Formats: sequence, structure tokens, C-alpha cells
Amino acid sequence: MINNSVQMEIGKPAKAPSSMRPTQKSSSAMQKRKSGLSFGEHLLAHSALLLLAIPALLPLLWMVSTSLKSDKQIFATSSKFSLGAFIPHPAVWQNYPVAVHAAPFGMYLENTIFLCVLTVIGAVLSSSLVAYGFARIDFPFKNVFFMLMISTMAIPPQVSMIPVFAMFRWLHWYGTYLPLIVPAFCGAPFYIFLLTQFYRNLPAELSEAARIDGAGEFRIFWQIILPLSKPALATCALFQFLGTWNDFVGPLIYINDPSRYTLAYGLQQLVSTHGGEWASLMADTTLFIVPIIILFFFTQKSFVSGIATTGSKN
Amino acid sequence: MNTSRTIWVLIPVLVLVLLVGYMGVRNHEQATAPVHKRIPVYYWHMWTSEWGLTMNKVVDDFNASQTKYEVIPLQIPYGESDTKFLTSVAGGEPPDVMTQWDDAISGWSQEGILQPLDTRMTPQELEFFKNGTYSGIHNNGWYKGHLYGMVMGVDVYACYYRPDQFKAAGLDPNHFPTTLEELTEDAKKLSVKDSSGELTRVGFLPTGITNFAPSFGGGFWDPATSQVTLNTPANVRALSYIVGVDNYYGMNNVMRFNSSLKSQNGVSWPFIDGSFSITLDGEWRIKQLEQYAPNLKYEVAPLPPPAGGKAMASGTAMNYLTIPSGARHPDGAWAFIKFWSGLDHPANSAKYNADFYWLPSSPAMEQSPDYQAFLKQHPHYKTFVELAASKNLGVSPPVPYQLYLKDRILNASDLAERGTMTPEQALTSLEHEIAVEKSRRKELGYDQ
Repeated sequence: MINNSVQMEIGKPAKAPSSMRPTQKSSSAMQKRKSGLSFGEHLLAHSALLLLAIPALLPLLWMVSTSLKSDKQIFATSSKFSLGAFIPHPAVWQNYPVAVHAAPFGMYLENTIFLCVLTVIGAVLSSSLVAYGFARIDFPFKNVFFMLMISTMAIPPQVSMIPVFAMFRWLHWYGTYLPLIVPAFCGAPFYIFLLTQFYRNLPAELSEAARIDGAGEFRIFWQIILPLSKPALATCALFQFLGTWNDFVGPLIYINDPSRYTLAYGLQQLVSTHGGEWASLMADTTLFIVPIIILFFFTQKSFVSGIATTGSKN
Repeated sequence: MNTSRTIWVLIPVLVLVLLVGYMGVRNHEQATAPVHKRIPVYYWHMWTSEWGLTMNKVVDDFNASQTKYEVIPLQIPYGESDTKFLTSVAGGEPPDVMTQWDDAISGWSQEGILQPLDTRMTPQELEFFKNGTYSGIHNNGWYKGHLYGMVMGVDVYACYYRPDQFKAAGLDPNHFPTTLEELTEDAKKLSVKDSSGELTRVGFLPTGITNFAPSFGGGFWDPATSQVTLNTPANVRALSYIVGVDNYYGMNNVMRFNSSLKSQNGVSWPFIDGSFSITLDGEWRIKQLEQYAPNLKYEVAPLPPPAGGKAMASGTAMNYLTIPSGARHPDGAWAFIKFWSGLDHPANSAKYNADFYWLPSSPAMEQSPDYQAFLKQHPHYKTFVELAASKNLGVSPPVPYQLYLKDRILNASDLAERGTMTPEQALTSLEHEIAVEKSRRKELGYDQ
């Protein structure tokens, strides 16, 4: 059946059908709901949210504050809990250059970004392709395979650590980045599950219309489904980026060359090296998480949208 | 249409495969290629900071002395070293030589993870090892008649004390107590309370049965019977002494005082900030004192024995060099161990112990010019060197469940020190816990 309401030209990305976009009516209703809150209610809601955010923000605040103190200041104020104790006096900005020079941060950053870019590309491409198969193509034992794939999420990584290590060693990949990159190109169960849920919600008429116009499955996937899945793909990309950025065990086990260390692994080395030097350590930690915070600020809309539309949460 | 589709699929895949392959191969070459085409000996360790630099010097000297082997060091994070090491052993790609601590030796020897070292020694080397090194060196690292770990560094414990506080309390700053009873009485005079009765300084606050048991003639291993010893009269006396001091000051007062202490590290070490007049601690504190309190006047003396106890006694802690099973170049690993430990030339490796601020492993090493120069520069080390040569040092029980055993000993000591149990009850409970663990291990098929 051809859905005439979906006018599309093969070769151009499709736009979301009207049913997926908020109507003018619902949009104005939302506006009304928003503006329906009085100033007092706004104040109350924001105050409550700020209050709840304090426990989460305190460690971060302490980290930044400590990164700008001298070691003597840290211990002099450690037994007193007051807002004043969080303010470094004087601020020791020198901690940052010292911390940066304590380790080859640039090299670690370069290695981490290299891994992040490749694993994000690999995980998003492979997972979206597999998810498309599960969501939009019928084949024998599909549900069994899907259940099997989902069940792999329940296997703790420690269980497979040694057999996987032995396999990579057999492939002569030990000591290289390959064990950290190649698995990302084989699909990740959580992303496959997340994307499958998203694809299932897309109208089947889109694919049918494309098929009638002569598109094959891959073209439907690439030019129709993928462009409509940006929020879900962005969510997967962000999860994967965070996973690779914070990955410690992978580099620990497979990388034996200090010039190939990642930030997370390099930072752990600094913990050992600067065990008693809290200021340097906190300056390094602050530098480590700043890119993640910036990334989250820029991607939070897509991220929340992706989570909301798939009905999933990590 | 088909061509276009193929291109869409192939281009990104090809680019990625080439990129990944290039990086992977390049890294593999970098990671595995020996620099001078000698046999690579991979050495994993957890030495960081200034210790890491000293360790690199040992490696450089070894490599300079060699035409056959080349040691390639890799520092791995202390807290995660077991994960990396055990995965590599199980996966068939272990290092050739690795630094380990006490807890690992017996358990890993039982599991077949480590190779025996004594079988690699020549008769002369074995003779020197057994009779020419200090007891702390040749009594540790054994499991079921074989040596699996070569002790590199031994930590022993002595009393650090502050003459200025002795003088202020009306005590002779040039006389350190000769018995534990005298020390305890002097410590009471050194303790200070504020106007509200809170302790602000404690003369001497013993804690942890492990470091006190040897002075009372106790300990947790009997070499004569090869048995773990727990609830013995000597151990009860040692724990009772600790608890007795706590009771004198008041359990609650001691707990409040301990919780007011800032940190055990750096400038906040309670001995530096004056919270303790006398404290029992290891030889590594001398370096910290030089670094963080260069102007502090202090002295060091062995823990005086209690009535009927043993003089020059101390608990110990060790680090070892080991060769894992499956190491590709165990001969190179053994050459490195011999070079560093000074098994064949103790005087040659004395400079490494001095650089590490470690105690000497043998009289020959102690008498070497390098170590004598070190002692002249750091005279406080002499007490520790004398302790290292003592026969009254505690031995780490060479049992495969050593990690569990140490944890439970610590727990028993803590329960008694907090007043939750009497010393007798705590040690009886400890004995029961260990019996249960041994029984559990037996059911699992272990012989120990």
C-alpha cells in the first residue's frame, strides 16, 4: 500500500512523518503548561532541584577547589566543613601546568581521541545495521537470535576476559589497539537493543514506499532509516564515547607501550605517582573530565531525546 | 545503482580497516620490538615516582652490562596489577619477571603461577643465599620447600621519637626507655590533654598486633612445625598490652584522638605534626622526614622488649622478584634477578638498595663502600640495618590463604582494640575463622 502522504525523493534524507512531530496544538499546549507555572512555583521547583543537585555537585566542587590549593591549604581546611573552605586562598594556578607536565597529557589525549573516534564509528555503524535487521527484516529464528543477543548483556566481562585475551593473542593482536577497536565494529548488544526499539517505532510505510520506488534494503537503511534515527544514534555515540574515554581495563590488559596509553589509564598512573600530592592529582582529574562535561552540554538535547524516544535508560 | 551501493558500503569499511590495521601493526611493532636485537626480558613492576626512576637506573645498568638480554620495564598501576598479571598468565602472555608483595607468593605458587627460583641457583649461590644473607631475606618467599620469590626489599619497624617533647615533659632526651614497661610509663608523661580533657598528644599509642607480637616472643608462623600460630599465650600478651594502653587512655578518648588525626602521609603524618611523641613505623619514613620536615629533630630506636620478651624484634613486610610460569625468557629473568639482588656480587648491587632507601640484604652488602656512604649520609638508618640483621623478625606465614589470614588477624586486633572483644576472645574467634577457611579450602580440593 502506498502512503501518499509521505512524499519522498529517493536519494535525499527523509523527514520525520507528521505523526512523529509535535503538532501545533500539542506544542502550544506545552507552552501553556510551561507558562502555567507561577513565579513562586518556578522558584520552588528550581530551589528543590538546586538542593538535590548539591550532593552531586559537592565532589566536583571539591575537586576543582582542591586543584587550586597548595597541599598545606588542603590539609589545613580538611577538618572544617564550610563554604569558605572551598575557596582557595590564594588560588594556586601553577598546579595546572605542573600537572600537565607531570604526564604526557597531549599524547594520552591524542590516543584517547583516536580510540574514541574509531569505536564510536564502529559501534554506531555496526549496531545500527544489526538493529535494522532485527527491527525491519523478517528471517527465521529472528526472536531467538534477538533474545540470544540480549542475553549476552547479562554476561559479566570478567567471565569472558581470559578467553577473549587468548583469542586476541592467537590473532597476534596483543600489545596493539586492535582488541580495543575491532570489537566495536561487531555491534554492541545495548545499542542494538536501543536502536531496534527505535526502528520498530518508525512507520513501515516509509520502507514500503521506498521499496516501490526501487530501493533495496541497504538503501532504505542508509537513506531513510538512519537520517530519521539521529537522536538514537547520537545517544549510542555518546554512550560509546564515554565508555571508551573512561575505559581503564582494556588499555590495562592489552597495551604495554606507555606511548600508547589513554587518558584514563595514564591518569591511574598519576594516582600512583602523585599519591600524596592531592593538588596535582585533582588538577589532572579536572582536566580529564572537562571534555566530557563540555561534550555533554552540547549533546544533552539529542541524548535526552534519544533516551526518551527509545524508552530506554542506561 | 548496484555500483553506487557497493561504493557506499566499501569506502568507509576500507578506510577504517586500513586505518585500524595500520595503527594496530605499527603499535604491535613498537610494543614488541627489542631495541638492540637482544633477547627481550619483559619486566612488570609497580614502582612509581622516585622509585620508578631508581628502578630505571637498575634496568639501564643491567642492560649496559649485557650483550645477550635486554630488560624492557613496564610500570603498571599497583591497584590493578593482579588483573593484568593474572589475565596475561592465563592467556599465555605473561611478563618474564615481575615485582610482587608478600600476599601473592604462597597462593600463586600453589596455583602454579610462579616458577621456583632455588632450582636455578648454583650450589655456591644457594649456599650464599642460605647462609650469607639476613634471615629476613632467606626465610621468606618459600612454599613447600621451594623458593618462589627473591626478597628485594625488607621493611622493619622501629620507634621514632622526639627529644624536644621528652625534654618538655621532664624526661631525659638522651635516654630512650630500655623496656616496654618503661616506655609505656614515659609515654603517659608525654601525653597531653586540653582543658576539656581531650587528648591532644599521645606519648605512644601501640596498634596492630603484627608489629608487637615478635617482641613478646609471639608471631603467626612457627618455622619449626610449619604451622600457623594464632591463639598463643605470647600473642595474647601482645594484644593485651595494646588493649591495656587503650584502656589507660580510655577507648573513647583514643578513638576521638585517632579520628582527629589528619593523614598518615606527607606533612600530615602525626609524628611530624607532633600528635605522637613516639611512634612505631618503618624505615621509609626517614625519606619522608627528609622531604617534608627537614628541620625536625628526631631519633630512632628499636622497640624495647617487654619483661621476658625479645629485643631487636619487629614485624616485617617484603617485596619480591618472581618469574611467572609461561615466561618466554626465564633465563634472562633470572640473570636480571641475580644482578639486582646481588646474589653473585652483593657489593655491586648495594648502590641500588641505597638508591631505593632499602635495607641491605646481607652483611657483605652492608659493608660495601656504597652502603656505608649511604649510612653516613642517613645515620638514622643504622637502627633499621641492625634490626634487618636480627634473628627476631616476624615471618609472613607461607600459606596460600595468606591474604585472608592477614585480613582476619587485622580484624581480630581491631575488635580487641575497640573493646568489642577481649584479646582472648578475639584470638579464639580468629582461630575459629581460620579453621573454617582451611576446612573450606580442603573441600575445594586444596591441600592447604
